Amino acid sequence: MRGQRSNLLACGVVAALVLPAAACAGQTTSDDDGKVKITVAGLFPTTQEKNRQAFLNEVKAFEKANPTVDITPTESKWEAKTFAARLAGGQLETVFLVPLTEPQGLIKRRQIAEITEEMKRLPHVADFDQRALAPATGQDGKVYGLPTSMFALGLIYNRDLFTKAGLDPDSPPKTWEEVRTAAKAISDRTGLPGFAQPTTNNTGGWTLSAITYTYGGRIEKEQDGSFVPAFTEGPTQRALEWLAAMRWQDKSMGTQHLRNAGDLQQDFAAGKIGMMVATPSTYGDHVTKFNGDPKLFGVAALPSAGTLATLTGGSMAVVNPKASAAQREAAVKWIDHYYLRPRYDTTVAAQRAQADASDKVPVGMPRVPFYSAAVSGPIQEVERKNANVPLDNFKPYEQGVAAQQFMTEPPVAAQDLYAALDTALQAVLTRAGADIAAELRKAEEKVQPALERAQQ
Amino acid sequence: MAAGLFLLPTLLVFGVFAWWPIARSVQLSLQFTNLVDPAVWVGLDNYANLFADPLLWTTVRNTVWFVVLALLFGYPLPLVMAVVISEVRRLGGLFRVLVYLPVVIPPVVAVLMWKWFYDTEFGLFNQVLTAVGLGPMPWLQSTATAMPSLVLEATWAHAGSTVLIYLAALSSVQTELYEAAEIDGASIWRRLWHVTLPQLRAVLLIMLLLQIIGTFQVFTEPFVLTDGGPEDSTLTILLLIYRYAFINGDFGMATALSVLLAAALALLSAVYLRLTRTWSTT
Amino acid sequence: MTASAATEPASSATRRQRRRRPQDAGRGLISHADRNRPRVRWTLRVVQAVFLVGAVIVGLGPLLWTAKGAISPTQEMLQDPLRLWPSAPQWGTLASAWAELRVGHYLLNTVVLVAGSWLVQLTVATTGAFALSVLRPRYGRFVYAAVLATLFIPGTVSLVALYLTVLDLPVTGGSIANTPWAVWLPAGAHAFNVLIMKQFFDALPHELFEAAQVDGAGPVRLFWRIVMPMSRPILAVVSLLAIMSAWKEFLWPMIAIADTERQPLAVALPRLAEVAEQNQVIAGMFIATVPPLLLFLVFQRHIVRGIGFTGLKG
Repeated sequence: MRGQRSNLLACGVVAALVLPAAACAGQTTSDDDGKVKITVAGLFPTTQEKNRQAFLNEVKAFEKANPTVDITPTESKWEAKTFAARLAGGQLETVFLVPLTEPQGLIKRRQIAEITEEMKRLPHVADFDQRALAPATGQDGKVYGLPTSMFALGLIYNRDLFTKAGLDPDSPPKTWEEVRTAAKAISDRTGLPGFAQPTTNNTGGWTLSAITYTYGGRIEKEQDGSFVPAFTEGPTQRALEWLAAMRWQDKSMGTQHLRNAGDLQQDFAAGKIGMMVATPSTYGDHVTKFNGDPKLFGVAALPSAGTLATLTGGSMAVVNPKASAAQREAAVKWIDHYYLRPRYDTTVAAQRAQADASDKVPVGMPRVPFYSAAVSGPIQEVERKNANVPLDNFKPYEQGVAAQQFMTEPPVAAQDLYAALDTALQAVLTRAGADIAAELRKAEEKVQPALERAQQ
Repeated sequence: MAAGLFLLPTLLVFGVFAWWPIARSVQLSLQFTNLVDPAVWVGLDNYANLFADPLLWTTVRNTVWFVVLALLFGYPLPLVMAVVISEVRRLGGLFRVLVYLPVVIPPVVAVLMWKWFYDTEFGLFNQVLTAVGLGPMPWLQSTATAMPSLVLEATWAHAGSTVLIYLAALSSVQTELYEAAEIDGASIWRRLWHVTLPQLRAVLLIMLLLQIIGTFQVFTEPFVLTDGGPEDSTLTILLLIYRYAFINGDFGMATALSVLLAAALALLSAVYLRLTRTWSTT
Repeated sequence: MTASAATEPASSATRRQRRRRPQDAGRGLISHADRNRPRVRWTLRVVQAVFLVGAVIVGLGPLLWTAKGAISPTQEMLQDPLRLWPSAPQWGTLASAWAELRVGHYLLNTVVLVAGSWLVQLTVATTGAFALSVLRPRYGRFVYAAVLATLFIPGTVSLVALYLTVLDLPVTGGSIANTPWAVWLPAGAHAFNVLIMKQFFDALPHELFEAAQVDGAGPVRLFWRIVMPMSRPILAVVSLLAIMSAWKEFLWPMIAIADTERQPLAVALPRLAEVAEQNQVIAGMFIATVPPLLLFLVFQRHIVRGIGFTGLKG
């Protein structure tokens, strides 16, 4: 009510300024018909017409099953650049999706709602795989978000380029040394970058942290009750030395380095990159957004340098901190309906998979299960049956990922850590002979104040 | 009464969208807010955090470097072009149009265009350089060349309007003085130095200040071309404000830095206004 | 566009001067005696030729590059950027950029934002300057000083606070973020417009206003029937500058309008550049450039004069 009135007032002022005041249709949260109104993000854009229709159908089905809830879907997607602005503006939906890197910071700043109680009323709550809930579980043990999609990072590679370079696309590299050899072969034979590493928009630091884990390192650790940077301890340095060797000795990484993960995906789809670190879900954008050839898309488990580990990526659904209790309830129900149900209910999973497959939405990509094996096993079976992705291309990944430990995001100031590592990566990849240890020390100095601020 | 009504749009628009945000900047710079809970007064904490951030000095250095480079590239060039255009006489109109064309292109389009030109592998510049044997340049990909590359683009994009201003100023130079100098046997160069430039002194000084004030606020170029990289070498003050506010969600630090930048620019603007006033009265 | 039209001198003062003397008789730095010397003449010719080639490459080149890129296959742009004309022009790219990237949709957003910004700027500048210059209330000096004071603080530095302001308007507490109002209204707070408009009004014959008032004309009629019709030249200059600068806006619309559906083309382009086929993006860049380019070519006399007149950059 208050919101409505102040909007009217605002419009009054605006109208006083310039007469045609038609644009003042304020957003309201509850209406006269007594329905709980919620807005949900995640509607696919018109460029992905089929996914879009599928989403809208689910909205209708949900409203039919929950006649007291009225859902307005929006197309808006997570974007680091606009998130804080949209949060400030109260423009965030009741349910919105954020990458796994975000919930910890949002919890810390109390910018998302706690939903432990609402979650407990959902089916199969006891079967949740704690690894799937971890990214949005606070230090207090309370739950602030639910997973919507989760993938473990792997090595994406171009099978065509592997063949052209005389490599076997069915046995991709398992160690970083093998990656280096393969990158050199690809680069020598084709002139294209054999391996690509993003370095901007914090995506460089993110993938570098995953590589660090496979060298047995951490990028942040707890010390005397507070979190401090840990990337100066050796493993990150070895990872950077490995990159520097490819960049400057082998010259197998090209010369264009100020790019983010999205730029690389686009180049990969165009067949211009040999290998890169990314999640298998990249396949979705590869075929739907960038019109990449499905056949050339190969994916292996994240290579290692001794430690079998990987980092999970994906997204969580979280709830607006300004939502009322009724809206929170409806929001969590919607998350369950759209994102969780297909992960525990085989009938829904089959329906969703068939619908997706007939709409040419990728089905069958290896995902991190949300529930224990007893629940998620049969789901996987169903998805495989309806798979429309080249399952064989995903085999090397599935074989490797089973043995890997899943790391989670650094709990404090992850984005600041990644930003600082971006800078170190840029130094290593754009400046021959950069002093890696010194660059990491610089990054540590840079990120220290941010970590302290976040823990004040 | 009628005056009040006529002033209403001005008062409302300036009040809400100019005076209020300025006051609010100062207020916010003394507060902590997560935009959900009520804001808390924190005194000078935001300023303290700002000065503890090593990036602050990086951005100040970078911004000053950008300003200096922009002056080196962009300050004498329009003057030379204006003098040449006004002296070659023929095709003056065509020159004016050609010189002003880059200014007409929307800055984002211009920057995206130059992103293509600067591509180290497929870019126009490196193809030309390689063709004439000067080898590929790293352009945006190296700390040494990234900033000059941004300045080159910015100079190309903005020089046109400065040229037109100089042309306007040149056309009001008192020609009698040329004749007097000629009778004294002064060569063309000496006339340029001793007659033309002194008469343009006021405009030159004002353009200098305008350019400094303008380039201090550089944003679009590093935002689209480099995102501040490589190694923060193109991270400017405004880009850091943007990051604080819209990526880290720290509105306190963002406004604290804004207030400091505003103070610096206000000082420069005050000088500018003083000069325009003396210029327009003489 | 003819050369003579464009040589229109950039300030009215010089126009009077030139009218006094035929153009050939006018002199600049280089005198007729100089021009008759072979060395000077040849140097000038060479300089002119070099300058012409340089200006065409630097001024026109990038525009032609965009036009070419818009109809070239992406691969050809990458492999052979020096090619002057695509091997097989793909005119369909413009259409597919229009349809698939929805460039038309974003262009319409731009037009709406520009038109509104122009209207608000003009409304504020004319009414404000009229009140300050013609009606002259006692407190006018203070208002004018407060308006001019904003010249000291460029908009970009109060960006963050301005953003929080459109989110939560003072007193009323509503939000206009994500609506065109968030771009239109702040555009009005442009002190330079008020300044030059007031200076123009100050120079109008005030006896005329007094005569009209004696005849019983109220302030509204005075404004609408007498001052406005006399102000066409300054209205044209302010309008053109307002439209050209609104078309270029990037940072503020990007922040104020987070909803991708409502963003102007300039804000949408860098985002599209990350996901779309490259030649389509270039087609979008080309389309974004055409309207201001046409505007410039049609009104170049006014624009050139306006810039000389205001000393305003870009």
